[in-house]
Amino acid sequence: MATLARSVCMLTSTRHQIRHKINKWSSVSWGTCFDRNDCVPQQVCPAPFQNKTHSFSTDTIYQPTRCIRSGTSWIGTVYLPNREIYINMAVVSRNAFSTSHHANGPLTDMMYEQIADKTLDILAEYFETLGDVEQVSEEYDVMFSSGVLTVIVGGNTGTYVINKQTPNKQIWLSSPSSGPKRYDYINGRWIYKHSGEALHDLLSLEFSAILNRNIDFSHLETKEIDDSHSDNN
Amino acid sequence: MAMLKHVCQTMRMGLCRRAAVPTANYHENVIDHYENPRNVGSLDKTDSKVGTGLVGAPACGDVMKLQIKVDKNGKIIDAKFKTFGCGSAIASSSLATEWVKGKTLDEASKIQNTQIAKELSLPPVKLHCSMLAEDAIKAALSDYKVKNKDNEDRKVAEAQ
Repeated sequence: MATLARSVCMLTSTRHQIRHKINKWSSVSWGTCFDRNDCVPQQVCPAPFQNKTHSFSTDTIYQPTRCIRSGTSWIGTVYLPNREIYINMAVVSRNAFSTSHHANGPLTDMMYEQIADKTLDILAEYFETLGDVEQVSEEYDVMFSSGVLTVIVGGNTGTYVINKQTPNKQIWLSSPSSGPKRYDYINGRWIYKHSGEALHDLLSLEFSAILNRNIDFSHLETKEIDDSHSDNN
Repeated sequence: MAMLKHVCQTMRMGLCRRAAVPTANYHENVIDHYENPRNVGSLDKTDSKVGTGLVGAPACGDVMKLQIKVDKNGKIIDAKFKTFGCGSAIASSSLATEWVKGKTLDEASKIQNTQIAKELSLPPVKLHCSMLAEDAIKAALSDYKVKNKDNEDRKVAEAQ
């Protein structure tokens, strides 16, 4: 019954030229619709969204009946009564309902865990490499467990602690020279909201001073983006 | 006899080696604030002379409430705190109430988390507690200012 409904829908809606930014759904999104039972409600959209496709006027605001997560973006199911079909389309919320966001949607717990773990993994590996190739003190040590990365630089510098703060979806840094800071994930970077400075930029600055060489952490940020792209494909 | 001495010595060395595991201890200043906290309590938050700052979140493990009472000259005459958190968080907020007493609003806003951390010799992982204490002070000052904004505006208007 469901498949029959779906095939009927597909036949009637092949004319719809709906363009939007979904990657995973793009192969099925050209005029594809699903009957009610196909769309399992995962979460209610937090705010009404504005349709950004070309086939509808941009002033039209549709309240989706359901929203589901697709990769890094949201799909909202909207019922078009004049055409008697359901359309799945990208939703871009006009209101920032979360201060932390990744791509077009808010940062979910699962996304945060993945991104934060990856960030810390990559940092831990890099700090260990620094210990091997650079002139570091005898006490230099890197420890990483349970989401807490501790780098004992030793000498006159002290200890860095970088850890996950899951309830806030943040990464917390404690630097012996610049003190404590809390970073939110904004547009693909970990940013300290009070100053707009990125975590990796601060580490580049401070470790360049410690090791008296030009140390750059920013290449680690692109590494994590590339990895996450390969995960989505 | 010599053999007994040797055995005792090796035993002592063995025990010492095991006991030489690095441990981090609370600094005596932190313990002092924990065992003899100053200024614990509440002020009447509906009082217009009282500013209340509430920062942190239970899920994070730290919540600090810091209240200040300001006289008509803009000087802080009393401060109280209540903190849910680790020893370092309690000590940081206790120290913060000690320091704001007797200061003007401007002077209190200049208190830095680095000063609190230095006074309590906080280890790296506890620096965030001092930051939270600084945030609590700023939140209390800002709350007081918002409550008294109308009075301030009136004073400025009258002066003109």
